[in-house]
Amino acid sequence: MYTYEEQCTINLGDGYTLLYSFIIRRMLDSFGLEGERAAREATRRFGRDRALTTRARHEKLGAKINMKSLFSIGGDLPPDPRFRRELQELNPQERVSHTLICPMADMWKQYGEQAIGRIYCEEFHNSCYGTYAFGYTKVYLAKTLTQDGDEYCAFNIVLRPENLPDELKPQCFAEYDPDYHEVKYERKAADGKTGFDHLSIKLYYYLLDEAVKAFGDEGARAVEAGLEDAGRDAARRIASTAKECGKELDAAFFSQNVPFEMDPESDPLWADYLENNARQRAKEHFVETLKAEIKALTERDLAPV
Amino acid sequence: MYNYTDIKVQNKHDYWSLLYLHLAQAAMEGCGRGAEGAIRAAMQRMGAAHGEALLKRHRKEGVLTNLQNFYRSFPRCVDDPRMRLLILSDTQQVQLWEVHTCANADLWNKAGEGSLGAFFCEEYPAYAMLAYTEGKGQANLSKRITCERDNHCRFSMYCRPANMPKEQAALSFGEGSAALPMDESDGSRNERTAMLTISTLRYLFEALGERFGNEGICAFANGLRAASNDIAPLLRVQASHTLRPCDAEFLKANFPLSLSADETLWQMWGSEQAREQTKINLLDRLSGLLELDEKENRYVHV
Repeated sequence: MYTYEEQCTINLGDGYTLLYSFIIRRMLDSFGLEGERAAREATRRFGRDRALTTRARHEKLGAKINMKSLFSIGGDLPPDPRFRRELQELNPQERVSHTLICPMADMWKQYGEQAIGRIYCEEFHNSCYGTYAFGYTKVYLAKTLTQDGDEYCAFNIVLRPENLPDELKPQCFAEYDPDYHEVKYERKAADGKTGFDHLSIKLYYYLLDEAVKAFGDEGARAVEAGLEDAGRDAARRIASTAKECGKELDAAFFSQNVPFEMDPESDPLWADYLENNARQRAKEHFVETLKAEIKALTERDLAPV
Repeated sequence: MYNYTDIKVQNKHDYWSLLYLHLAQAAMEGCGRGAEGAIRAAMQRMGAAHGEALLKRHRKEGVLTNLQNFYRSFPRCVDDPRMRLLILSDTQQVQLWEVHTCANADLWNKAGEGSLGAFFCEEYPAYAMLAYTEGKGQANLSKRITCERDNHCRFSMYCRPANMPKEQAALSFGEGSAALPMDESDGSRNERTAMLTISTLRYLFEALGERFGNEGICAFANGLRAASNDIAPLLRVQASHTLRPCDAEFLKANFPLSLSADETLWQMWGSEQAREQTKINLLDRLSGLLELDEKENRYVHV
């Protein structure tokens, strides 16, 4: 059993995971291989964005940009209680870990979208962890839960100092920086709501941008259709949670369980992601669809707070 | 048990492993921790050169340059009959395999130098595949026998048409096209082992020289000398195991290089300076240690 707070994080996480597959499904159905090309590039851009955000935060703290920092200071992915990981090794050069349960892979499988999950696994991790250490990280993910036959994900994320140019060695490894004073920092997990909102905005933004770049208005329409699919699905999932938890299905519940705000214009997280009218499209095609679906399911409007 | 043909190929591989080991040890000892960078760079360049050469050949022959055809013509790691592989996926876009037994890793691990072996494992197979796919593939190595934690290697290589220009995709993928047959003839295996050995010598020589100048070249020479001291008695033992004299004929069949360094492969894959250093510090010394006369050395290799 999960607490209500944990259930909210689960719903937010699932919303974020399924947003990806619903939008890409529409891109693949509309544009085939070219849709896949755009989806892969969007996934890589999403990875690079997250890496640069994380690196900037770590640099501000005075941390070395290496694997120990990347995987111990605390990233931007909120902790989903369903994840099960076994850490094998964590040091400045290597993070070796097994993911035994990945709720993202589980959701994609449940929705018959394992192939889309594979796109994520192949592109996101490489791009994100690679960019974090200036393109010198070797991202080895030889086993994945989105790969048929694999029983867990095997992450070997490696940064070898001797593969770095001399000027980056002191920035990444304390043993190359004689003036370095070790910084103590408190590991801080990302907040569920803010974290998943921000990830969802970024993910959707890059998918929309690549779809528009590649296919113009037709691309935007495919993404809008994906948003509508995601909105309908989110409505059913949160309605079910509200019922199970005995909670009122109101605007507050929406906010706690859906990785977008009901009024995206009030959400400052969109500030850097407004191109292609992204925020307005999210409101019209995700939020409005979700509200309409809730109304259809409950025969009443979402109650305001 | 292995047959006589297998044993010869295995012996050649053992000498390549030993050469790599001694050169890497001498580089670390002579040039410090920066030598790791030189060794890794050498393995990267070697992988890239081999992958690129195969790509050119396949394009010339009109072969679809996808992962399936790559691994039909190129060893998944090295070309040793003792390798035990479990192939999990063998398609144009996805190649997944595990290595359960690797004689090279065993040799390095036994010497307590698995981490030096890892420079090869982490760099060479990935760079070969990346060069063949013109940088569009993705290499994953999440487990390796040269790591104390692991008891097998797991490689996953991906190459997607959606990640390459349309022209390249058209040259790489074709539904229903038959894959090349596996190229495991003795001749090919022997040639690949000689190519690997000569290339290893060339790229290590170059990378050490570039990074450390004369110090690097001295380390290279010292590594070869140390290797010759190990190799000579081992050749004698291996010859005695098959009741053969340890002569030029035996070396031709069991050692990856000709003692006169006159293979045409040196011209294709070596460099004159690396060849010269190898001749002086390894091949001539072996000849002396094994008491082979000048005439006996003159056999012709591939």
